[in-house]
Amino acid sequence: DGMSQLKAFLDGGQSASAVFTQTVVGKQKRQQSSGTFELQRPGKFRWEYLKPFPQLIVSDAKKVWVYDPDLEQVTERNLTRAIGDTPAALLAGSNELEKGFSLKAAGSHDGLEWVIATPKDAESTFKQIELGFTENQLKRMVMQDQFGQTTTVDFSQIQRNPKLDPKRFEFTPPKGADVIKDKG
Amino acid sequence: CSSVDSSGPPDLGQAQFTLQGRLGVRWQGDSQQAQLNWQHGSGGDWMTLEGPLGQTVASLSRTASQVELQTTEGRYVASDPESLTEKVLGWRLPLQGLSYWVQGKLDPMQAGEPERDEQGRLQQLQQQDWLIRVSSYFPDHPTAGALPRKLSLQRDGLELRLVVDQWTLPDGTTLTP
Repeated sequence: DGMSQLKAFLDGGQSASAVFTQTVVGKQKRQQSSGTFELQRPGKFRWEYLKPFPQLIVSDAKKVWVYDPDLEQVTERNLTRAIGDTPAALLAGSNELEKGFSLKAAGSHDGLEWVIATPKDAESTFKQIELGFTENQLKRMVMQDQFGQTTTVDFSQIQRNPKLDPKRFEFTPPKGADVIKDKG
Repeated sequence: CSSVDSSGPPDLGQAQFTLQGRLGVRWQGDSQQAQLNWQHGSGGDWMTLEGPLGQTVASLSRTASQVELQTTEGRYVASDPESLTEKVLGWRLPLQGLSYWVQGKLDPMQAGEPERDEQGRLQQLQQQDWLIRVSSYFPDHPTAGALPRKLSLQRDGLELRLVVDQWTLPDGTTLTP
């Protein structure tokens, strides 16, 4: 079921990589984006948007950087503080998912086995995250926010335990972009 | 949990523009980045701020009589957006002025000497203690004219940067880079 596949996925491999498409559907909008995702457990991940505009989220397991080249801005946060808002951190975490969320199996639909993760912190930006698995691999995440907006992320070209260059999880701010450290 | 009564936009009167873009905020050594969705009408504004994954962080609704800010922590109401956002989010959002500056125009209710580029487009302006700089424009559009793509607003230690990814105008025109 979903829970056993989630466990296998979290414990299954030290690294993973995939391409993702993201669709955000709200009352007034529908927005599509896509990019690449890499993770190196525990705690390291790279979530890189390529379309419609570049935006990079990188974690070296201690810090998370969000870099937007158009804004020429880098926001640096401690990973522990960013966990609730970056589901990628949950996938790369060793037990962040269990610590921050209550998990329950949610049967199967759309050809996937599902787990529903509900944040323990009521003021998290996400109300609920559904994780859809097949063959112990995460294929889809459906995230509801507190305002009735739903984000669906679909993973494809999934590779288990690829050899990933450690530099992919380091971040050096480009010239000109000023880095603002998080006070938290 | 604090479920938000996401009521959605108020009556905005006559639609004037809708924009999707990104907002960068920097003040006192803190930094935030958010996706911005903004509907501006003759009678009001509806704005949502989201994280990169589309998770709404706050919604702001302005009508003639009041401004309401909804976050995951709660609902806040005030008479003007600047004091409300400063109290709740920690930084001032000059919504009134921005609704003109974002279109490359002066706020008619305020004094201000614009500097213009050789095509007559607004480049720099000082209004309401804000220093406004428009650093790039969308290509000139037959009906919409010159609409900004990137602008920054500075006031005391606060800087707001705005990148517009899509303009939608009442006649259905949409501009994307």
